[in-house]
Amino acid sequence: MGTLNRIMKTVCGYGLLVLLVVLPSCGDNEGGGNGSLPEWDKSKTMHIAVAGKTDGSSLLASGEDDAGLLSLLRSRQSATLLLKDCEVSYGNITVNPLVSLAYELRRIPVFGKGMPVEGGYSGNGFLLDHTLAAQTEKEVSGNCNIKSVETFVTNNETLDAVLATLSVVNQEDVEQAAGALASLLRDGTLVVGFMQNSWLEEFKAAVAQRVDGCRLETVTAYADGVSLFVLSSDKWVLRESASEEEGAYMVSDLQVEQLY
Amino acid sequence: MMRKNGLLMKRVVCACLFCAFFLVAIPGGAATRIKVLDFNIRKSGELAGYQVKPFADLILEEKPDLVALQEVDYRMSRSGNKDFLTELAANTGMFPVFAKAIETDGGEYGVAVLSKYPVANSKIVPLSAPDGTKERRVALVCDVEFPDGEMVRFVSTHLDNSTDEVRTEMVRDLNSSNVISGNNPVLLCGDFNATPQEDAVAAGMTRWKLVGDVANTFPASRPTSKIDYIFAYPSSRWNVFSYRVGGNTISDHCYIISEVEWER
Repeated sequence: MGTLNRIMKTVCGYGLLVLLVVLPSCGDNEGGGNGSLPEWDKSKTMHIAVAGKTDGSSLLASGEDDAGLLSLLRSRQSATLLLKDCEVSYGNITVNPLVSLAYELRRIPVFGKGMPVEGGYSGNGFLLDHTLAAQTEKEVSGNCNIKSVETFVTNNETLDAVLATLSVVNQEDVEQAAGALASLLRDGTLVVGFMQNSWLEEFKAAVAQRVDGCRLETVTAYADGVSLFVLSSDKWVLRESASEEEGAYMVSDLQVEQLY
Repeated sequence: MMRKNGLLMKRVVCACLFCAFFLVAIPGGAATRIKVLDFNIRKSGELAGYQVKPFADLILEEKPDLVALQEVDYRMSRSGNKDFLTELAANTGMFPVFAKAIETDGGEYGVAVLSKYPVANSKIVPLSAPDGTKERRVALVCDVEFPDGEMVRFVSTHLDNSTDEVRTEMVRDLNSSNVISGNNPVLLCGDFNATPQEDAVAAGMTRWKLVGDVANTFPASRPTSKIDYIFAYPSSRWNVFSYRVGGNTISDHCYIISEVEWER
């Protein structure tokens, strides 16, 4: 009986050890837990180009000439474009450069409201290459909202996906953002967002507390210390990213594979 | 006696001043004023040579907060493969949302919304298609947050040009929880292809306030029937300040425009 107990304890101990090694979490998973990934299936890979200002200022401030950005984005192959920090205002004159850019790039614009600015909002904008079935907004705080859109993994529109974005601009919103994102992550939403690099550890821990096996990858940092990150459950994996600076702009090309 | 009356007067005046202070000092008095425009644009501007500009000019002149459009083409061959709505948005600065009802002619065809303010949520509600339906139809349901923080639901739809029975079925969907959510404010606009006397409107829309009157809206050249509507829900909490039927030569429908107020 005693021998059996010892064997059982040893088996359980090894089992627990194996589980600890196998089960990844955001907290101990800097590389995204990519150790045992299947071969990269490019036919299930979403291409996203993320554009922002290198110095971290607003990408489309009211009245700013967008010709440089336009030519940079025209050269992108990505079906989905994400623009960091666009401003819209609707006082006596409505200024909405995101929609002009969408028209020029033959895309469908979706604005994700972020922080209030004078006469309007600053927020991130999706430019999609298909018409929209649904969009949702989830409030984190008065300065932070999560915008989700129903989209597709590739432009042949066979695999569905939900893509979300947010910008966290106050450290006190980090915990709240993790809480608001948890249910989206569990449902398989892919999140591309922005926050100060120094807050990412706290964010990573807060998400890992709520969602098992999530992946958080930092892609690039802007001059103001804000980082672009990719966050998801184990349904997605960031396979490749490359960032390119041109003039005042930085464009990051992301390739994220949907694993199941 | 005189002194007693004087005291009473003083108290009444003080009470009035007190009330007046609160009426003036509390901002907004709890109402949201909205200017709304509904327009069936006839095959994305067939009568305007499929040009966006005349529609943009109209919107810029009328300055609505919300626009509901019907018969909107997305990259259809007949209208030059253009994305009519995004071009219209680029010309007006408004936020666009398009809803596909069907795929046809190499593109998509449906209804749309333009909003001056950011759209928080949007979804497409497919309408019932009982026997006798000519074409699949949808309702585009958008939630728009106004600068005073009020979230208003705005809906654009286009009922089938078949029978009153089919449209009555479709109207049931407009009364469902997909569109109405508790006592939250909803403005529903569209081409109902039904006159006020037909069941789809007379019996189907009894829970809603008819915004404006029953002045004819179709055909635009010489209107003989009312088939375009703005409805508001819940009916008791909406006030109508103005309503007008706009004649034009760029569509076969008149546009309708109204200023309404939601009492919070």
